[in-house]
Amino acid sequence: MRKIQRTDHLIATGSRKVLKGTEGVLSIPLALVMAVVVTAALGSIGLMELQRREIALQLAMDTCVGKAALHLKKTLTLVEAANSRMQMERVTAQAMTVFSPPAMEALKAALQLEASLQDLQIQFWNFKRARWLAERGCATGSVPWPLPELKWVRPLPDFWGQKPLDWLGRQPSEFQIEVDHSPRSSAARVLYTQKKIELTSLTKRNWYAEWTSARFIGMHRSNIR
Amino acid sequence: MKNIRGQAALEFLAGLSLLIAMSVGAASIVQAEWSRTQCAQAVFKATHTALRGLPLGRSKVRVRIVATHDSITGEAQCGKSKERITLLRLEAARF
Repeated sequence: MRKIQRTDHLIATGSRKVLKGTEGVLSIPLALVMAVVVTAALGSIGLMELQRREIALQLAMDTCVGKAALHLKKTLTLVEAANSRMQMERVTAQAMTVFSPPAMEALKAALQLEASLQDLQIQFWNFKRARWLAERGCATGSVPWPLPELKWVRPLPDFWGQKPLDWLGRQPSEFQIEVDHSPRSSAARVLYTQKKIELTSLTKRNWYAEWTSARFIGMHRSNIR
Repeated sequence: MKNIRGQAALEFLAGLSLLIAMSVGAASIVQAEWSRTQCAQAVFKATHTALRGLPLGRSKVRVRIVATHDSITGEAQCGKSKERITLLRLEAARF
């Protein structure tokens, strides 16, 4: 026991020196090796966590861009369908002015209802556009490109009632929705296919949404620079 | 005196060998997890790129893409683990 205690101190035995604490299991090199191993393991786990977060971010951005694209598709479909119905109702109303004035009044009310529903759909979309910017797109610290503006205007009503909506200028054939969160981005577009309605000269538009590649990101980044 | 120094060396060697064994074990677990994560991410990225109709970039992991009307599936074999992911086309997605 006494011998062991003695080795705890720096003692000289002839030309050889014994350092204090040599019997300790955890020496400095061992502690260094442990530190390196622990650091490497923690670093790897951290990197893996970063990669997992990147995937989670991509999925979150896809979800919110997808929701916005489907909302836009629904709005475009509903408003254009209401426009088509209104055109037909107005033609019927014009015929009814001669044959059945009470029926014309009913059609006028129907036109008013269609117009109100259209306005409501457009207001919903405008509300989403404002929230999109306020919440920065997906509420993930991303940079959102503003949602497309629906440039519909309603002409003043005439004798037969409300008129269908008109697009101000030329209506685009596709709308792009995009979010950027470097290094990831998410984009979708809403576009239409045109189909001719049988036995008429009219055509029907079918709006659909699909994923696409980011288009505005480069523009946005160059603006930042 | 000599005996005590020998004991310290023995304890050090025993500790070191234990540490090495633990380190090798931990490294192999981390390495396996790492390659699995890399594989999963490569499969996700490739499938996501294919979903957008873009050409697949070069990758260490060979990802097989299967496209259907509603979805795109990417799968890859990375060592012992097999990664498979299915992403829905927008019209088929439910949020």
